[in-house]
Amino acid sequence: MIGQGLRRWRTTWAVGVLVGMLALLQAPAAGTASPAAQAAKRSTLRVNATARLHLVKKDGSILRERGTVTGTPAGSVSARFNVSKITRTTGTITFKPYGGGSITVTAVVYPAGSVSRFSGSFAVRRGTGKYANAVGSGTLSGTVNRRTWAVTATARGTLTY
Amino acid sequence: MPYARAIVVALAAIASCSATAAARPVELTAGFARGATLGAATVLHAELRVDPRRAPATEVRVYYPASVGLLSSGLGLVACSRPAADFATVLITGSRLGGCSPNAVIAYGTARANVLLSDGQVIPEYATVTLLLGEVVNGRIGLVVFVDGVRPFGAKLAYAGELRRASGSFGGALVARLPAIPALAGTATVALTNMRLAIGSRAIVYRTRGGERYRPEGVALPSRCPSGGFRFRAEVGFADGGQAAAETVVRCPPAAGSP
Repeated sequence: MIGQGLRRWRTTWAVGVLVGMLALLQAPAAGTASPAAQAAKRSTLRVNATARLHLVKKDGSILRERGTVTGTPAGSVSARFNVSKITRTTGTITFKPYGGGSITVTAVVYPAGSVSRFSGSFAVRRGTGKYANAVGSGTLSGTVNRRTWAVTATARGTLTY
Repeated sequence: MPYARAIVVALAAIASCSATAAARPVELTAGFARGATLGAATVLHAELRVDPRRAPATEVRVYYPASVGLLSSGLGLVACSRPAADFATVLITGSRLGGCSPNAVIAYGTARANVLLSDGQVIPEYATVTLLLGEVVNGRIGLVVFVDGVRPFGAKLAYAGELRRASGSFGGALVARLPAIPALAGTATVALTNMRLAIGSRAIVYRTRGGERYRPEGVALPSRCPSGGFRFRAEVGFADGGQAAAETVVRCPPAAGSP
């Protein structure tokens, strides 16, 4: 009796484990379907925008600027540039498109031919609102007026959100 | 009266240099202009002294703190462009700025060098120095150094340099290469013994496109003092392959509005 019970228990246990494993195998399949569905809803934007910024505050090698962006996406922009390193300037730029949400990118630019011209790249770091899961990157180029620190920068790239 | 005071301070500084120059191969002092405050632009003074018993200096590098805004200053609006041949021959002719725009000037200063004649005579030469922003080549920002001999020789020299990147707490380095002067080969050797620079000097005057004259903003100081003060470092390479370095720390100026 005890032997039969043990055998039945083992069979039940084995069936249970098998069902569990199948369930586990099914779970990732269901999981991948969801992002795929999400991906289908995602939009890719071709970024082609020009930002015009003016100096708000200078703190040693840190420049804080604000301005507007025309093109795609259009809106307002604020930026913090660190010009402490000779060969490259790094920055954090936050765009606020008119439709809502925000996109924060990190940028690295280098002098291009003169200290008043720069070129480099940007990568999306984070977003809010409809840009919460945004990813993207592109190039930056522009000029800076080294008397007033007014900056004009053109960004080209892609943004998926 | 302020001039008399400045002269006394300068003489005292020179006296203290000559008293201590023999002690170390290289000495560096730095400071901000009187009245400098955190968060504002100012003049950065730097003085380098080289032991005259060493071989002639061939390269000078002065490192400045990352928190001091040299690139964020209003200095060096345009680049001074000189033919490479000038930096090879070193000895040039021309006006003080060598045909470059005054809007390229970053610093004014003075220098002293020993001219070592082949017969063993040593003649000290006094000169004025003008540091200008050079062209950007391959992403590197160049520098041009014009040295105008005042007495007794009065030669005009052109040296090339660059703003070089630096690691750690330094934002970058002002580098000047000082090669031997080919025209003097076998006759004399020039060895730098002292150089003083006022970066963002109040004597620098720029012109707008409309012809309006203005004083560019000097180096931008941060609103908060870096831990331990502002650290500067000088490294000098010598013709015999030797190297020497010196450091100095500048205490924080007061914050704007503080008593």
